[in-house]
Amino acid sequence: MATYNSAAVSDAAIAFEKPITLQQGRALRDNPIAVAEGASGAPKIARNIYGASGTTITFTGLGDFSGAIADIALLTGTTGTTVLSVSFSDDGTTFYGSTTIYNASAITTTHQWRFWVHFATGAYGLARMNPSISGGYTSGTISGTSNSIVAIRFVVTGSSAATTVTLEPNGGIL
Amino acid sequence: MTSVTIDVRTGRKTEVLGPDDELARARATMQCSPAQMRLALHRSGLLATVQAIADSDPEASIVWEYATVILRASPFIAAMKGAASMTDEQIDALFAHAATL
Repeated sequence: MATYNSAAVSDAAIAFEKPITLQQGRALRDNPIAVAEGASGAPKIARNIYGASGTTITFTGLGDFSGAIADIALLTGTTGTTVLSVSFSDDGTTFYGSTTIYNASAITTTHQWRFWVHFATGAYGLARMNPSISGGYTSGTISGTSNSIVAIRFVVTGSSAATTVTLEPNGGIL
Repeated sequence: MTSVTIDVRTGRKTEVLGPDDELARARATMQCSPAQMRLALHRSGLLATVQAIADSDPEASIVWEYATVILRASPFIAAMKGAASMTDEQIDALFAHAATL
């Protein structure tokens, strides 16, 4: 594991017209690795997760990110047909690429999924977490997506239906 | 029908409640004092009916006699609604009236 060295790259150590030493060069090389590895003393990568419940849940401000992971729960107590879908927007106003996550008759138990999407390619995956079923992982490509995506919207329709979504934007999923 | 928007840059959440959700939230906060409720029931001609409901169940009687606040969302009100054949709207009106007393 790489060692994190903050002193080697301090403002005093790296200054105007001051040559980079061997130690400083190696710190510049190793510090990012140490951060990624979670080395002792290294800054920890911040993970921001956001969540809400409702019938329409929109996450905006995603322009700096390359993808997102979401945990989705469809709440019980619904009647009739329930449809849960996800769509995307490049301007925060017009949404496209609506993809159905769930479409079935009345729900008698809470359904949960883990969903991920890579903005540039539109590649997505959907894992059915509860109730777990055979063939519970599906994947595909959402057409029309790009790195211009700034918002994701989850919508559930159906009597008494509501969904809970937690979303973690990230730098991208390969 | 609740619409929620979250800006991940700031964490700011904006919530727009649908009519049903607004009503549910309003009902969750409705309350009045025991005196206000008794006055409202008396003026509605329902006091004796509600007293009979309380008298028919020991725990309901304790709640009716000793509660320091009457909550719209309480089991006692739910029992009163059923036993007195009242609608949710009538219960809402009762609390609205009680709050003015």
